[in-house]
Amino acid sequence: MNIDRIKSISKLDTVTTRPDIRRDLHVFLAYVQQRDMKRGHRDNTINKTDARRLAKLLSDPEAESEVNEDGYSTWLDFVDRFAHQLGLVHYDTEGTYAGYTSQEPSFPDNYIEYDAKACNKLLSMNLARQETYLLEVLLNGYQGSSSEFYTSPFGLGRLGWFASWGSATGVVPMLDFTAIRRFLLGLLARCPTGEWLSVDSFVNYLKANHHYFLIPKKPQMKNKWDRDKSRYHNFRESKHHWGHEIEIKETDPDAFERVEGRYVEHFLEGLPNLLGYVDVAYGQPQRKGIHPSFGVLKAFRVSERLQRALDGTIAEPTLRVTPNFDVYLQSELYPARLIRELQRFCEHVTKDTTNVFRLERQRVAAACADDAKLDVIGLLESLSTEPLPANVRRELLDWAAHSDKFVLYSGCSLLETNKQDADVKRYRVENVSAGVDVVHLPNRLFEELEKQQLAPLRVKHGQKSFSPMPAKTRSAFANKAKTKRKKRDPKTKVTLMRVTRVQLLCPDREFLDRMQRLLADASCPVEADRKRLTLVYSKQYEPEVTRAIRELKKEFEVKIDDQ
Amino acid sequence: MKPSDMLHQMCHSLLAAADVKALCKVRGLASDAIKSPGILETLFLSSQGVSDVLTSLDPSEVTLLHLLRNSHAPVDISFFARAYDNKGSYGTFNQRFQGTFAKVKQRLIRGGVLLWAEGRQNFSAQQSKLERSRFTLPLEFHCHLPPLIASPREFDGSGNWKPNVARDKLLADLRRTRKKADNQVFHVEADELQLNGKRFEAAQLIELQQSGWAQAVQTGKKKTDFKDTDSKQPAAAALCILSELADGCWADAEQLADPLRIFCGKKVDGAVICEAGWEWGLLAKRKADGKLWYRPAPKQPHIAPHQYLSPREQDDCVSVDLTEIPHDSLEQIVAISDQRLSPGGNGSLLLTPNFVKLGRADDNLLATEAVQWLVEHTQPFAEAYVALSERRGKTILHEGVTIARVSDLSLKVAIEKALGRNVVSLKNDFIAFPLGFLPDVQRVVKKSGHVVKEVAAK
Repeated sequence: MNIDRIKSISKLDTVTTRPDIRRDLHVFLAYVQQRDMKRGHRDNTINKTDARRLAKLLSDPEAESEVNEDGYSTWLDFVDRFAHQLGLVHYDTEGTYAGYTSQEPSFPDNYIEYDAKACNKLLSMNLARQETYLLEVLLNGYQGSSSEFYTSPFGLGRLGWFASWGSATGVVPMLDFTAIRRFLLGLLARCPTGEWLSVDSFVNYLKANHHYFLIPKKPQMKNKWDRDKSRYHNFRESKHHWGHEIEIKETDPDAFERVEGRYVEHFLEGLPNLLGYVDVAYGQPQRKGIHPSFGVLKAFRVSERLQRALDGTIAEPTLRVTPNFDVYLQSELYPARLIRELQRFCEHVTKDTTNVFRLERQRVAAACADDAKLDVIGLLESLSTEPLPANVRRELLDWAAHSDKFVLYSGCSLLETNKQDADVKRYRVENVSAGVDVVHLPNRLFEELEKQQLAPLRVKHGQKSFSPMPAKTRSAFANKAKTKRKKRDPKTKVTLMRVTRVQLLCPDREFLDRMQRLLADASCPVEADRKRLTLVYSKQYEPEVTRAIRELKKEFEVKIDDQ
Repeated sequence: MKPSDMLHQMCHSLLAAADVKALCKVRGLASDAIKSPGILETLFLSSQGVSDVLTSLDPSEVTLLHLLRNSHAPVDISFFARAYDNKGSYGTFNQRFQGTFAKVKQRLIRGGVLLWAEGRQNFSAQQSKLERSRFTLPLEFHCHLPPLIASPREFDGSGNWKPNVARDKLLADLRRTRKKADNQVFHVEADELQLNGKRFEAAQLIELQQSGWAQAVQTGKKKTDFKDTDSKQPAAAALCILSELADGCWADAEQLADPLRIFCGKKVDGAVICEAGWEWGLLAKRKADGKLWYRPAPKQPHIAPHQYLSPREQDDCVSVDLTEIPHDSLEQIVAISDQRLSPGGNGSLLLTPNFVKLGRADDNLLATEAVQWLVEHTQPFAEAYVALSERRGKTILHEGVTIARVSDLSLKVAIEKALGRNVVSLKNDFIAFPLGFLPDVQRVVKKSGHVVKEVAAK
């Protein structure tokens, strides 16, 4: 296959990184598994709270800002839709019409259900099979008006689409997009890898060698009223976004480029780009002011992964444990199962093509405590390409043993009895010592003990203290109960305010006014009654009053007569 | 609403100056109380003047206060309508009870013997102030209430009463040949004497008599439709009134007429009610001066256990004479033994010890006279009691504790240090602690770098 190389891509806008659908799919599933996610009652979309949380977790850097600004993210919607397509989650997509006048369906209590069985089935496959499975689902979907002609079904892309006006009739409904995509992928697999190739050249190659790869030469229309329509009847250009006034005739010399060429552009930036099989480079459109865009995708570069994916030869991940307790997990694709396994007892330090984990004592011990059957050493050895370092093996043995240092018997009761022959085998969880057992089903056991004529006593202990044991009992719990001291009721605090008020009876109004003025100058609060000629003040202002009287003594001969 | 809150509200916001003045004057409270609601609140509950006010009330008002004393919660103004004639049952609540309220205020609130407060507004239904008003008699004034029957007659002796009404029913039921007849309430089921399907209890016998009395005085209608919950049923009212009588005092039906009318909220025939009470063994009666006099029936006399219990060595059991045994003693022995009917059908029960029941019996029950007699005078009960004494307290089932095995010594020390007295060290590295300390223990375990391995009960 002879396709022109692009000598320089410096003027082109290359896209070599993209969100990782494989990783994001498992991130989404893990999120759904942990939470009850209810979809929108009206629009059946993920609610904004969950969308915001999920956007932070996904690998699309623009998802978070999209959710914050628009309330939804194209990439998140694609991941959600894809998980549903794969059958890994379930939710209602049909809805119900709430009443006769309803224009649109409603989705009441539409919770996303995590399908553990389907997820485990997917995780149990090797990476190559997982890839084939994902590819098949993507190839088979998005037919007719959902195809690359009219939308961007794979959540990526910046090219414009044909208006979907009339796409339910004519040639489009009879096209098998699965076969078309499979054919194009096959061609791409034959292209040289790692080199930037010209999209124009690729289209020219198709025009020359596979002119009817997309639309048959004489399409057999299903409906008789479509039979007169041309091959390109469904595809119209316009000078504005949603128009369809420019007809593409089969006789036009560039008709192939304008229809099939556009499809190739859309295809390249869609599925192969999503799965990382090709990188793409964008340039300026060949014809400006015409919609949809034409000739914008200038170049593509095929990855070696495409051939391996089609052949089913994608390598399994490799694992290496270093003496400093780091675990390196190398994988071409996202190794979801292994990451889940390792996260149980390792800290996930680096998340990239090479995932780095660190073995930690507490995590290993906790994992062993949670799952008694877990064999960390066995698991690492089975996955590792090299033997485990001796120090790591030794420490792991020690850490695994650490899980037994504290064993908690939850929901159990304790039985103390002096009867060694008491038949409590059915209720025994663990024997502590002779005559002391950790038991379950206390009600049934108590009845059993009564039947055995052991005159059992039942002691229900408090939440935060032991209950006192009845008199004449032999128990390890004796003297453990707190002796109740009668608490004194706290005394009510009362503050009595004592105010002593002094009343001065003045001889006349003039003296009263002079005295009042002097006291006012000294900022002394005083109540004056000009009718009764009295001045009343609080005793705490005695010094001010004394000073005022001393002042008046300069003019009057003042004598105070206490009564 | 607490009486203290009612008092505070009444003194500080409900009573007008004229009310306070009148109240202080009637009760003879200090003049300071007129000026200060706080002082009135303090002095109101003193006994000063209470007896004088209460003795000055009409007999119907006294009866009303006795009924109010028996109410568990404060009452509304409609309660007093039975003593003070109200205009009728038509119109709004205020129109119906305004007159009653005026009298209550005049006679009881201004008399300083009644607490008055306003309840909160109910948001679902708007209520007037009068509807929300609540009244109660302070606990401190109960002892000052004059007797309900103003002039009872005093007689010596306990009069004529039927001590065996319940016992006769018990014997009749147990002697029935046809099992589970419609009106049979006593059975021996699963080696146990039962009353209405439950283990026999003496208190149930009183209830049985009371319900029989209540049914006997029900007139015509299936069930009296008491709209006001403050009124009592005739039988209960009569018992309540007669229980107020002092020892040796008796009342006739005529004296009971007015109190019964207030207590029942309608006119009832006291003679019929009292006679039915006598028939059901709850009242004693005597005839004097051509009249019948009633009072509550005396308690059953004490009978020594040997008079109703007799060992039967031939079949290792004890015979109980149901015609003699006091009800309390019967309840006690039923709680520790298996019972079966005597084959002769002579109205006696045969007892055998039940170890399960004995094990469940508390020390007070085991120390009762009847149980001790059984232990001391009968072989099977003595043996069971000895076995019980030997085994009791040696098999203990602890619930509400968390058990853990800690095989790291430093961790164990850390837990013991954190919990102090609240941890019990058992053998082989096991510990037990109250359930509420589990989060603390988990914190200690995590802090010390260990993990919790959980073994759940099946």
